Amino acid sequence: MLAVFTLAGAALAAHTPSLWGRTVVDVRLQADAELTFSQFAAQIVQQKNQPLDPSKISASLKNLYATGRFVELAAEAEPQGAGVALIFRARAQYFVGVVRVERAPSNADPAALASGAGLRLGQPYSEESLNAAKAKILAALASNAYYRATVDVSEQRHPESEESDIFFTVSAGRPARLAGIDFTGSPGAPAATLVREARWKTGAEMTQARLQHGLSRLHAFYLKHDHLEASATAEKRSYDQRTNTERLTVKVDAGPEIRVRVAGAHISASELRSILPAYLESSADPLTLQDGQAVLANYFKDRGYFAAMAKLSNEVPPAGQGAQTVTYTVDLGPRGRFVGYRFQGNRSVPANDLTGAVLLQPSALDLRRGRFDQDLLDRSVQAITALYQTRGFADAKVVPSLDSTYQEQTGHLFVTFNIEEGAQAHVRKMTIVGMSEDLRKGLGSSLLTAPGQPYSPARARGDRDSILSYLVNHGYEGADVQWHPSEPTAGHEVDVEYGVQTGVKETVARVVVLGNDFTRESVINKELSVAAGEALNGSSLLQTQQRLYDLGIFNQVQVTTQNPAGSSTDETVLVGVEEAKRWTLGYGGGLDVQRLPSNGSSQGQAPTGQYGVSPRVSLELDRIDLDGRPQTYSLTGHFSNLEKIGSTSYTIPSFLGHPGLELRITGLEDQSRNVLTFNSQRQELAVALQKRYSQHSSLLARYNFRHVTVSNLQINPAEVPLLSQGVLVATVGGSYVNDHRDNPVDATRGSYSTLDADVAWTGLGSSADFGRIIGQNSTYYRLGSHVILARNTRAGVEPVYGHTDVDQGVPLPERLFMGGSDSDRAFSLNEAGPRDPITGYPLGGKALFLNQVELRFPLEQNHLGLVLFEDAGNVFSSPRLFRLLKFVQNGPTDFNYDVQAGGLGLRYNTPVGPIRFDVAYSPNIPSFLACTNQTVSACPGSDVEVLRLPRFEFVLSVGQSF
Amino acid sequence: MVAAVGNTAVTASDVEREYRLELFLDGKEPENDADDATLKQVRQRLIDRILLEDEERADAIEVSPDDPAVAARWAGLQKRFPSAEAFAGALKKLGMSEGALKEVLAEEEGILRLIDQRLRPQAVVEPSDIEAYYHRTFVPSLEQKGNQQPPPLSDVESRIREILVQQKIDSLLDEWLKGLRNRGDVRVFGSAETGGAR
Repeated sequence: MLAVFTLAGAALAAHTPSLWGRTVVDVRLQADAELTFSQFAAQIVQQKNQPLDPSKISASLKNLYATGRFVELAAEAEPQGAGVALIFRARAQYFVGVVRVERAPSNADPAALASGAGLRLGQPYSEESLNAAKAKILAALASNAYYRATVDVSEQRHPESEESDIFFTVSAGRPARLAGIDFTGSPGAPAATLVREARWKTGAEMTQARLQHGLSRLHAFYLKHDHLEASATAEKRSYDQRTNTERLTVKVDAGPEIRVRVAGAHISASELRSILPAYLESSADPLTLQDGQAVLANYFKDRGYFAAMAKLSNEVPPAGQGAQTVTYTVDLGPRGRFVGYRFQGNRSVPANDLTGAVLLQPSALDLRRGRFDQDLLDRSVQAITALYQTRGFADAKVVPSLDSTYQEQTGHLFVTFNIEEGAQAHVRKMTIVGMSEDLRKGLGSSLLTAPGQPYSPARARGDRDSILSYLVNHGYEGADVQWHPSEPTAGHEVDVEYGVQTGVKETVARVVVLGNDFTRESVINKELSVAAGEALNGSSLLQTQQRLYDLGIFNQVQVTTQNPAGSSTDETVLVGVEEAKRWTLGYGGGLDVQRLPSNGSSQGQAPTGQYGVSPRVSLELDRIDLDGRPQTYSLTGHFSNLEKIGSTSYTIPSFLGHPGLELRITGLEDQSRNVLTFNSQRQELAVALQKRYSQHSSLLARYNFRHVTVSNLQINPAEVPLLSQGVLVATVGGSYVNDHRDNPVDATRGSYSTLDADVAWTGLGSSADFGRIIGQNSTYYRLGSHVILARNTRAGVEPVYGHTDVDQGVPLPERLFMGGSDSDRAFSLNEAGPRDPITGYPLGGKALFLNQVELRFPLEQNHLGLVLFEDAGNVFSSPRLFRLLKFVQNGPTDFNYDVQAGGLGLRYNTPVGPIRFDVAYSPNIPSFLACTNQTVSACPGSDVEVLRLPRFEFVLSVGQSF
Repeated sequence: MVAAVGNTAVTASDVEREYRLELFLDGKEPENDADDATLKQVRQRLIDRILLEDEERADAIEVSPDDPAVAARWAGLQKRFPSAEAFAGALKKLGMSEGALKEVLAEEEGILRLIDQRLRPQAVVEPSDIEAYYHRTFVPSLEQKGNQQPPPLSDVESRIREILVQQKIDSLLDEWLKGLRNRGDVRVFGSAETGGAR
């Protein structure tokens, strides 16, 4: 209970010589926060050198309390010399700062518990609100089976800002176990069946997630058995304190069995369930069933039956005598194709501008019949008319004419929009009343309603909103703007007046940052778009939030004003941050099954490799927020049968203060044997500068310096001494990435393009002068609900320049290799291109080309899928020997031709991407020479054998091929 | 400060003044300082008044000091004092001007109209209620006073109806005020007594 605070002066008046009327010699404010008298001078009516007056004291107290900055107030008068000193004693209102929940159990997210407590940053809080927050956290813990949990509340007050950080420390105790489940209502199925379907287990903890998932599964179970109106809700959870167990009571009503049929047209059961409102909303009420008519009609209209209609009939048998049958009888009508449309009579508005208003869709690759119906046509006419009206053509008329035998083909539709524009109204004069000249200047010429411009009510309303938005962004939160047009003149000219009432301006008094335990205040301050003394601007608050999120070191950023319901116009802006965990450990894995180099040395194995399994494991340890700065240090390791990579990198975002510019320095050690011909060891240092221009595109510039050595060379013995020497490669280069895919792991639409270019230069320390340019472009199209067309083209060249020998120029491990699960599936891993005439092993090349086309068929509920693919391409000896239209090999030493492969693949979707099994067949896979005696540098004719790569290749991997 | 309703502070002076005003409107003068229990009741009535004034503003009810109802109340108030001079003297002691007092009466009239507007439609009285009151309360009370021939029901029905309506309005008002206190941001700080220096 709060202590008693009184007007002591009045009490003194009762029992001591009255102080009323004595001259006030001093007025002070004493509070439990850093609040000063000068901040509230305007609220205090009783002034110094005035007689002490009870009505002025009362008015002062009321004014002070009305600011919302105080919880309790009292005025005390003390004799001071000949006069009296007036002291306002106050208990300040504190506001919610950082809210944290600590020691939450593993199945309860601390951030969710904190958010669910209902304490919002900057809101005033009280003992009651703290108790309510604690009760909510306890309730959330109980819903996750922690009935014995206790919560302690502590606060850390900041008197300089009147902010209070609130900490809830949880002692969870042991979770309750589920003792049993009771079903009430009319479930229509045995309890054991329901428990099995819900996947609830006695003896386990009944967390909120398990409960909800179980209820969803029950719902899906009933839906599968045509009980569209079934409901399942958790009615009660009864906790037994003594045994720390609980019983769950679930109310289930199966509802009637309702079978839905479609007559007159074919639609698969799965498709029907995915579009019909009765299934989507689990309801068979008359309105929902009626909505199904329009949905079905639209479904068939999208397939070219532009006049399709669906009619509902409902048979309800007597109670207990069978299922209810809902039938949608579809009349398809003739099938057509909507070819296109054009505009006629549009002199003032270009067709490109009008196209955006048209809702009809002509036939295209991903919509073979186009989209047309009367409703779309009517709405398109309305939209075109509205567009004209916004451009000042108040009397514009649009009349469509439909040609249903376009180009003399029955069922081919074409629409002509005949437009009568009429006269266009213009603005003669525009005035803004009630706005100062300085404020008006800031508005600039952004308004559409300007003298000489077309006039329409929509444009004037839009400008009204623009003026209001401008005022709000300059601190005039309570501004109001009205607009009044005059009557049009005979020459269709209109005067427009905007009346502005700005209201009071709100400014930023100070900015307070909360929650940064490790991050430097300077790092945060650099990202602030608000500063003390500026007008309060909602856009700036949002921008500040976004910039802080972009640092990548905060889980949550909140930017708001303190005490938003208060009447003050000098606002305190609060920036509350929740720092992310500074150490994170990531791990992953994968598997490749294809023709691979065998374990250990390549000696004695076939030049085509052998089928094997290569598991992959990766680990990544990141440390962010280094030294309070948004910089990251990473240690990464990738391990597989074919490759072992260890790397360390240091990343500096917003490099030199430029947003979107990132510097990364990487060092790595790599041992790989993913090319049959050799094992390689690589030590590399790279420095890269990346600029992100948008969410979709980025540019990167890099310098790489690496030392590469090869061993276990499977080549002509005469070349081994030369090629086994270590090479230094120093390159400068860059990359451009443009990614518009909807899902990088399994895209169904969009595009992905990259261009990489590097130059190795002896002037930088490289052993050879050569370049490398590789470009790739992939596009994805959804042709229907179950068909996706995906294509990918990749091309690369490695030209040699300077004094480097053209034939030997590019060091062996730096050459272009291709083949395997992630590229041309005609070949196994890195097997494409020229081969050594003695050993038969691949040598790589200086040019490559790959073109892939896939038809992807996602099947049952997107878990299973089928793929038809065609891969074409090869690695070529040099760019001069690109032969894309040559499909026949001229002898076993000719590798410069286009190898084709077609195949079939199965996909199984998992949360980490699709598991893939592909079988490829190549009719023109190359044959090659090998010598039975591989110790010679020139093979005698009798020892030469001609081998051929396998025509069939099998691949098992994770992820799409592109 | 002794209480707060939302952002409106209630000071000890406010409670003290309200206490004196209530006595004045009843035609009395305070002789001693009120005791704690009395001031608590006054504080509560003041809080209720503030809550009802908020509702009055929400319903856009405004009563002017020149309203005839206010004038009638003014006249009735004056009659409670033996003379015009006594009335003027009591007003001076209260520390209020005539204009300020008429404002107070206008506000009270506004609250009465608010209550009537909101609650009278809900105060439904059935004929059976009137009859029961007539037989169980009205007639016995007259008989106790020696009146052996009470008037017939038909003669007093409208009076009894009004009495019962007022009782229902009082009961509804209690519930309404409870709801307003629960919904509103009302804080009370300890005792209403002005005794800090004792």
